[in-house]
Amino acid sequence: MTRTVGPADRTDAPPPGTSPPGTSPPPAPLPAGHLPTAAVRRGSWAKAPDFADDPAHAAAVARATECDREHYLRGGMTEIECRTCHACVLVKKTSSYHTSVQWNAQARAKCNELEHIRRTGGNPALMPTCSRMSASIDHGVAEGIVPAESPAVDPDGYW
Amino acid sequence: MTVTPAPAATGPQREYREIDTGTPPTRFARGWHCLGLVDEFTDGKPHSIEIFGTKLVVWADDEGQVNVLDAYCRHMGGDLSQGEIRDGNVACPFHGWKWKGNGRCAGVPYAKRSPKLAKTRTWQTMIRNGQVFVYNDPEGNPAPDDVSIPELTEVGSDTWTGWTWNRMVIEGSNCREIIDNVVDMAHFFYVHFALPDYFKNVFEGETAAQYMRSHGRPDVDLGGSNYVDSKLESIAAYYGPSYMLNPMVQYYGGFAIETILTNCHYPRDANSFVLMFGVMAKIPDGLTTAQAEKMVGKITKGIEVGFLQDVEIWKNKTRIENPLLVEEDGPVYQLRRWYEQFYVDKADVTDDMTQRFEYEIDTSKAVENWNIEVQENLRRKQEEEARSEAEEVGAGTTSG
Repeated sequence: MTRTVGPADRTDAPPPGTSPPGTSPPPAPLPAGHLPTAAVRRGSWAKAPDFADDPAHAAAVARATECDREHYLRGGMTEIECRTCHACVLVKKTSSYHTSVQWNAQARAKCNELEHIRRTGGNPALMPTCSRMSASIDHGVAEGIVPAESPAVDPDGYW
Repeated sequence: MTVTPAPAATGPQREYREIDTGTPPTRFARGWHCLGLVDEFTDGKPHSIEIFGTKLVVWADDEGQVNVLDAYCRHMGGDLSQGEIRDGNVACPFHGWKWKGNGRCAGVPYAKRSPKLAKTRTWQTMIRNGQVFVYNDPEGNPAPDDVSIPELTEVGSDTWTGWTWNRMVIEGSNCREIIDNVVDMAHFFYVHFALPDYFKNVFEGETAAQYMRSHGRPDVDLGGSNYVDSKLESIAAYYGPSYMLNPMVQYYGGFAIETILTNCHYPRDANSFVLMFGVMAKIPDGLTTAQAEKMVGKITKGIEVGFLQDVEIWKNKTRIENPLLVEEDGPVYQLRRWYEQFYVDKADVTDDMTQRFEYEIDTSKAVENWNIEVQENLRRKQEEEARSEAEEVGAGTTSG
């Protein structure tokens, strides 16, 4: 994985893709025309610099954002099958309470509890969880299929 | 893990993280947008709404049907919302051209006949929950028949009060900021003075839900609306891109108050939006309707304080496409992926935008740390009070 601008919340190792402390060159001097940009942008939503004057840097930032997106949307998830309906979802636990569950269309169609709500005219988003799936996740944790916590060091380098 | 060095072509290495301001949206969300309470528009006058990068005129005809047209007259560009209503049509203040609710020209007072092409743009409207909605679709398709916005049986019932209604214009920001709040567990402590004990999000289809149980911050006094032992149970859900309903029960000791909050907005342009909110309450046993309405007024004031603090944040914060998160922050990226479905053509809505996603936050560490902060604030407050009392006593002795 190539990163050019990484998260800055690590203390044990340099953030992915950045140079080790003390070895990086000083930031490039601001190009002419850089300073007024922020003033122009004050009334707009995007107030921070957009690096329009430095396309290579802007592209590097955009690439790093793609990595962030990948990490936050899909990082660290494990497949788990419901013991009742065999719906297969992706799950991540970072503590005994903290749970995220990503469903897909196939899994969602299999889940009787959620499908029942939809069939009877309800809104399934207003049901916080399927109790069967929740029990299956707990079971998966007990069996060691689903990690109970996040790893001490994140494989994507975010902590 | 292996850290791959950045290619030289990307310029100087930086040790800090950059903010990616991203690319602002080039369109306005597809969906129903609430414009306000229906009573505001049934006064026989045309109303001006700056929305979706343009201006619309809203009025009710004699049958109470609410009409929405482009405000700019197709004749010479006059602003119809500055005109008046004649025979149920809106008349332009510039040359008197009259327009029907269906967009057809109802006549040019000084001409033999009206031009054949005299049809202006109409906007689909809906009245639900005592509120007026307008439908936006950049592709120009009509609204689907199955509207996800629920009909509240509480509206118009004798056991509930009517809606209060507040409106604020936010400039230098975009409505995605208020959407972000759906998942933002920690801002409830800092901006809304609540300690979330339980926090979970579920996104599915066009709904984005937030389940929360919280209690009031004992170190913040909101002028009586935030008692020390207050607890809140809340289910807030966006139905589409801009309309949230939030039934909640607030417990003050053993006393429970049931309310419903509408929290909705519409975009004026890419850098400005209008936020509106309304509250209705179940009339508690032993209270008259008037007393209950007074109570709702107080609750509304408390909510307004919170929103005004949100507004200060939004006006000053930047658009950030790459938020740096901790686990307790909630699923910001997933929420924005869900929100994206309203900004692409219907045919381009992908499964991952609408598929069910659940995220329950473990708030125990947050609450533990915040309680330390709260205790520290309370201790400081007590010390200050003691000091000012001592000073008063001191001042009393010298002057007496």
